[in-house]
Parts: sequence; C-alpha cells; structure tokens
Amino acid sequence: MIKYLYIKEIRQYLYSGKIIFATAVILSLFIINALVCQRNYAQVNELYNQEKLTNQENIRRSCSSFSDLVFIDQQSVKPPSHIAFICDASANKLDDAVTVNAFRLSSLEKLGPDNPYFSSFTAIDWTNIILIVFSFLSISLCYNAFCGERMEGTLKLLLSNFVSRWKVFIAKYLGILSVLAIPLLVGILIHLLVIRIGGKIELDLNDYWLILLFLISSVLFISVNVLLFLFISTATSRPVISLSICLISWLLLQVVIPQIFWTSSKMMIKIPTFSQVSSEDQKQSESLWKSPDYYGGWNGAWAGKAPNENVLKRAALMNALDASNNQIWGDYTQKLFRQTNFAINLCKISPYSLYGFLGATISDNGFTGLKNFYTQSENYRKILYKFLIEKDKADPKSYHLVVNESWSFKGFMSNSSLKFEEFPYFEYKRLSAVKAFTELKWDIFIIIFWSMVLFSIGLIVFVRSDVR
Amino acid sequence: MKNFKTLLLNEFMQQIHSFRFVLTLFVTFVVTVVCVYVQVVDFADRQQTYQAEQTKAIDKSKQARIYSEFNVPVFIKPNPLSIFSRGFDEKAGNYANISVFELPELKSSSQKSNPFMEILENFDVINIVEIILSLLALFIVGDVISGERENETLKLVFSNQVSRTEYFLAKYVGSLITLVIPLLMVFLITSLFITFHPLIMLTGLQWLKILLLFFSGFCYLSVFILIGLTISARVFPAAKAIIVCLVVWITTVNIYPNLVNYTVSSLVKIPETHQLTAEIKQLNDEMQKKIDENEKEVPSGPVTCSNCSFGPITSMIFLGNKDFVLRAEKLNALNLPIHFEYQGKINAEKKQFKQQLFHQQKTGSYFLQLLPNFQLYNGSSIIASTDFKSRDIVLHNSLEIFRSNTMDYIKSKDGFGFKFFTPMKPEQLRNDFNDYTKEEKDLYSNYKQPLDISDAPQFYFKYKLKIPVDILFLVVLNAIFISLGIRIFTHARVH
Repeated sequence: MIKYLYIKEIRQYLYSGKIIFATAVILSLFIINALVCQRNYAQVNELYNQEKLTNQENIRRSCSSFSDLVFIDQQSVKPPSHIAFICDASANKLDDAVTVNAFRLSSLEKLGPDNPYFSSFTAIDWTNIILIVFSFLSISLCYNAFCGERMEGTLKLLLSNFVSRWKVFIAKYLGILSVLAIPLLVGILIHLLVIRIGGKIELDLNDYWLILLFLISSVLFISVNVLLFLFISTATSRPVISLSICLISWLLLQVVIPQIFWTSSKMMIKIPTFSQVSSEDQKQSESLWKSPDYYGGWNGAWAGKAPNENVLKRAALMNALDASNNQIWGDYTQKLFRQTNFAINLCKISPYSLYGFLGATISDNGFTGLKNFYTQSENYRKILYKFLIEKDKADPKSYHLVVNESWSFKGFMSNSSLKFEEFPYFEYKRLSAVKAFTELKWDIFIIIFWSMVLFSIGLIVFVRSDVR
Repeated sequence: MKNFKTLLLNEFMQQIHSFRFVLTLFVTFVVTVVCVYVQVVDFADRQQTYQAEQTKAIDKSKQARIYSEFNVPVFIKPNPLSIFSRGFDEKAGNYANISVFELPELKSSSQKSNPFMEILENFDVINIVEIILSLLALFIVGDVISGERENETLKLVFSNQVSRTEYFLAKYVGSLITLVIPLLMVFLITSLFITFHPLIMLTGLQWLKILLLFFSGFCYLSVFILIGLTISARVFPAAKAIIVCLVVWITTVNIYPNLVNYTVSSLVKIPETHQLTAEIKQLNDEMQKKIDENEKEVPSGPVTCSNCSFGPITSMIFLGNKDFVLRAEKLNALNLPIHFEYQGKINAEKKQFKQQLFHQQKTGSYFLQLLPNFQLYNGSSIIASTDFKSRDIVLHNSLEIFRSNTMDYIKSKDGFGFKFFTPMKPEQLRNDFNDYTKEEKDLYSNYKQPLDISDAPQFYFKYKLKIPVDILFLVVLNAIFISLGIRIFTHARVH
C-alpha cells in the first residue's frame, strides 16, 4: 500500500505546473553557475599560478646565497577551490593571501580580483540554490499536503480504506522528497557535465567524494525542510494558515535567527580593535628597545668580524622583536578566528545556517578555508625557519646569527649556496573527503537529529489529528 | 467614493487585529532591536577610534620641523546615517594624508572590525525594510482580495453600491496604514537608540535625511503592497496568491539581483591590482631616470652630514657641509617639478583603474534599474551620503583640491627651497662639517623646533542633501502598480 501511495504522490506532483516551472528555473541556475564558476576559477587560478611562478623565480635567483634566501618575502596565495561551485562563501570578498618569510607572517590580505565599488552579492552556487529555491519549492509542495486534502475531504476518503496513518505520512514524505531529489540530481549532473565539457576545472576522486558528501547532506537538508513544512501542514486546518506559518518559519530560520545570532555574537565576544593591537605592538617594541637585556646600537666596524657581546645582544633584541610581533598579531588573528567561530556555531541553531556553513566547509571556501590556509601558512613559516637554521648550522664558516635584519646580520650567517630543489615550498593542502567528514560529522548528525525530531512530531500530530 | 471610509476602516481594523500583524510586529521589533543596537555600538566604537586617531595624527603633524615633514592628516568622520544605510561607508577609506610625498588617497585606518565577520552582512535599517518588511507586506496582503473571494464575501460587498476602484483603493490604503506601523517602529527604535547614545549627535539636516529615508521606505513598501494586491486580485485561491507573491519576492529581492551581480562580476573583467602596481613601477622608474640625469648634471662634492635622509628628493639634512646642502637645494629645484609631474601621471593611472571598476558597477546597475529594492538601496545610500559617489568620487576630488591648496601654501612659505629639507639658514652653512661648533652640532642633531603652521589650510567637507532620482522612480512604480492593480481588479471575477 505504501508503494501505491508513494507512486500516487510522485505522479501528482510531477505533472504539476509548479514542479515543471521550478525544475526549469533550477536547471537554468545550475547551468549559469557552471558557466560562471569556470570563468572565475580560470581567472583566479591564473593569478595563483603567476604568483607561484614569481615566488619560485625569486627563490631560484636567491639560491646562490643563503643570506639572500633568508630575507625573501614570499606571497602565499590560497589556490581557488576546484569545487567552489558548491559554495562560494564570499570567496570574492575575503582575503586570500599572506606575505611570509622565515621570521614573520603578515596579516591576511586580498590578492585576487576585488571591486570595492561593486555591491556585494550572494553567489548563485549549489548551496544557495538549495537554500533558497529548494526550500521555497518545499513550502509550495508541502503547505497543503495534509490540510489541503483535509479541507477537500480526500484525506477522509483515503483513510476510510484500510490504510494506516503512518503509511500515508511516510508516503507523502518520501513522495515529496523524491520529487525534489529529481531536479537536484539532474541539475548537479548537468552542472558536472558542463564542467567536464568546459575543461577548465579538473575534478579528481577526492572532489567527487566531497560532492557525494555534499549531495547526501543536501538530501538530508531538503528532508528537514519537507518534514518541517509537512508538520505545519498536519497541525493546521486551512492551507492559507499553513502557508503563512511555513513562510514565517522560513523567514525566522533563514533570515531572522542567523542575523540575530551573528550580530549579537559580536557583543558576546569582544575583541580588541586593530588600533589597540597596533599600539600594544608599538609599546612592546619600545620597551624591548629600552630593555637592559638587549642592545640596540650598531657600529659599522663590527661587520665581517666575529660577533662581540653587543652584536649578540642586538641579535637577541631582533629575535625578541620578532617573537613579540608574531605573538601579538598571532594572538589577535586567533581572537578574530574565535569570534567568527563562535558566531558560526551560534548560527548553527538554525538548520539553514548550518547547511550554509556545511557547504562552505566542503568546498574549502569561506572562513573555514581561510582559517585552514592561515594555519598552514603559519606552519610553513616555522618549517622554513627550522630548515634555514639547520642549513646555517651545517656551515662551519657561519657565525650562526640568522637574524631578521638584512643590512646588519648578513655577514654573520652562512653565505653558501643552496640547491633550489631543497628549499621547502608552500603548497596548500586541499581538504580531503575524510577530513571534511570528520569536521562535519556533528553538523550532519544535527541535520539527521532535526529530521528525526520533525518526523516524529509530524507523525504524532498527524496520527492524533482529526481528518474531518 | 462614499463607502471608501467604511471600507478603509474595516480593512485596517481587520488587519491590525489579525495574528499575522502581531507576528509581523514581533519579528520586526526583535530584528530591529538586535541589529540596530549592534550597529549603534559599532558606530560608537568607530567614532571613538576616529577621535583617538585624529588627535594622535594631528599632534604628530604639529611636530613638523621642515616642510618635507609637513602633512595634514584628514580623517573622515563616521557618518551616523550609516546606521540607516551602510552603503559604501565602511568599504571606503576614512583617512588621507596630505603631504608632498603622498597622493590624496583615502585609505582605511584602523576603524575596521573583524573582517571575517563580513561573511554575513549585518542588517542596517534599510535592509530590514528591504528584506523583512517587504516579505511581511506580501504575507499580509497576499490574500486580502483572493481570501475574500474564497470566502465569498467579495460577492456580498459588490452586491452593494461599491465601485471596484473604491474597494481596491480602500484595501490598498488600509494595508498601507497597517504596514506603516512596523515601518514607523523600525525608524522610532533606531532614532531612540541614536538620541540616547551619548556619543552620537545628529544635526538638523541629518534628521531631515532620516525623514527622507522614511519616505523612501514608505514608497518601497507601498510598491510591494500594490504588487501583493494585484496578484491577489488576479490569482485564486488565496494560498496560490501567496505562493505567487513569494515567487515574485524571492525573484525580485534575491535571485535576480544576485544572478545579475554574479554574472556581471564574472563577465565584465576588472583589471588586476598587480597590473596597476606594474604601471606605477614603470612610471617611478621613468621618473628615477630623469632624476639620475639631473644628478649627473649637478656636480657633486664631499658629503658629510648629520641627521640626513635622501632619495629621489632630498627630504632631510639637518646639518651638512655647505657644498652638499647647496647641491641638494639645486637638485630639489630640478627634481621636485618632475616629482609632481609623475605624481600627476600616477594619479591619472589610478583614476583610470578606478574607472574600470566603476564600469563593472555601472553594468550591474543597468540590469537592476527597474527593481524597487535596487532603487531603495541606491536612493537611501544617496540620501545618507554613503553612496560611492559621495564617499569616494566627491571626497577624492575635494582632497585633490585641498592638496593643491596645501602645496600652494608651502610655496607661499618658500617651503620648497631650503626650508624643505633643513632648518638651517644659508648664512649658517660652513664649508667643512668640522667647522660647525659643538653647540650647532648638538642643536641640529636633536632639532625639535616645530614649524609655525598655524595658518595652514584646513580640510573642510560637508555632505550635502541630495534627493535621488530613485525615489522618483519608486513613486512612478507606485503609480504604475495602482493603475495596473485597479485595471486587473476591474476585469477580475468576484466569485
């Protein structure tokens, strides 16, 4: 019986005008996204490759002298995500690069194309198509699923046969979910086909696993939508009332709750301003210069000779300045991360926000991608510093003062040449499907939990409701 | 129109007693209180940072000892109307340093908060009207006519002597008055937050601008009410009418504008920053070549100096041997005009770069002109003076004029000659560095005497009141939808 009811539901919806119209809109949006994202990817990837080549060229040129290599500033750029079409997550607005050398890591900066005069927009990516179009489509399919039939009297007729209520509920739920899954799957397949034909983005196995993970999460998310609106439909008597409540629920979950939590999280976790951190950095630096433990003076006659006590004290001062700078700005960046993380976690109360951030994590874009990039850049700086110190130690002619002051300390460190191949490069490690799943397991669990709760409530309300 | 008043009162009373209206008020109240409170606190933070930074920079500028050190820091005061319409205010720079060596460009000083929090834009007052109130307007009026048709009360109404125009207008005005209540609430809450905040003071002109912003919001809501009524007049049953309203709203407010901007951002290419950097480098190299030629023409002698700094332009010699100082003066006389010429060229390059960025922005706006939400957004930012023209183009032009005045001032003080790089007078110069007395050496190596710049020009900029054409568009849209709605309703079936 459940199979019969399920097929009946699918047939009923598939032949409706709104599904045909919505499918056409969804497919158009998927195709537009496929075309635009390829262009964007090619543009940003070209810039990334250019920067990579410039960095390599600079390193190759400086390999003849260790002391030149030590002071090279490299521009590390976050490569564009292969699967940015899943979720762009304001990638065009956020920073994407850092300047790194062995001693310091700059704050995050913007390298990719950015037009501050252009009004900010939400990219029409997979996540947004599902978040907006599919959730609206769910409303339009579900709002009168039970109350409409109840009003028309067809529910009474249906239940006058030997059909249990839970079977009717499950058949409706599965029917609507299947109907919604069709444009989703077709849209994604067409999108992937367009990308394959375009040939600008090469997807590897890991990308396909990530796409699968996103697809599963999307079906779960659509299921939450369907169950929420079905529940509202079971609990209301008239389609207009059901639709009004569906609409208000959508507005609350999609716009109001995320906006309120995001905004108020700024007040809950306070961070110092850039100006305060700059002043702190300046004060710290001034106190180090004045500290009796260090020596800030310099005599040109010291160059080329074995370092005396004052040179060693100046080297210690420079190291202390670097350590203090890295500490202050590193802490500040971590505070920014903490505030943003807190805001994101707070917003995850709404399944809509949760799904939006889930899409961003899977596509390795947005805040999560940027945080991964910054953490990797920080680790790279440490690796680079360690590598240079070890190389310097191996040179018996060096005085082993690898210090961040090019004009004074070049003579106190190794001056031998280095093999270009030996030099550690910064290579951004893309998010693996396994890591993505590990990071997102709780988010997926919450979506499943929402589904289960809404399913149970919807079923209980429907079983206990009056069908007349 | 004899039944108009009765119909209007009936509609209004029915609306304000409905559960939907209470829900609308509640949602609007919560969103407004949270978003506006955070905006106000954010603004106060910016204001405090602005005051601290301005004081610090002005104090520092007063310590200029020679004209190469002379600078006028210009800080753009945070605009309290950005709480209503953020526009371009936070994106545009808020600080420019006017000096011989710097171009008058607006840079971001440190008033910016967490950049990662920009992933999700905070709602300003206009966003609340644009997104939340417009949806709630459709939600309230979507079934106003179709619901009555469904309940068969429409038939009863027209069995009396009621004209369709009268009925439609009564429904429209009734819904409009109902929705003005949440709109008024949004503006009142914001005004209260602003009035009672000790750091925010509004001028009379700014209050007038707030009234204009309210009027824009009113016109915008009116358009959505008319769209909702027109759909409600045409579509049956009521639930279907609300669904059509939803489709119209999501297309107008979300899908279409985002789709246009997303596509335009990809199709209309903008130049990359490193192209501009390369062009500027090329110009600087060209300038350096000309300066090198001048260096060759002026014979050089022995150099002994203290507290000195030289680049393409000699900017500081507090104490030096006579030949060296005189040579620096001659070279500066030759090089400073070249320096200004190339600054002009670099400025032109930057302007051209900006023009290309504007082109992308303009292309996007061509496709959005007819949308009421675009007109509200654009019009409000123009009224609040947070649009990119007021915040960038006009301000930049004023800064250019101010810089030119500042350079004239330096010239009038003979600041491009000796006084540009040294506090010494020509008669004090010694042929040999060792001829300077110990007192002179001590004095000039720790020279702290500031210039008298009390009569230096001050930057003054005031945002003017502009009535944007977008408001007129909104009024025209209202007129179009009233005619369309009445026409559709006149031809619609009542049962």
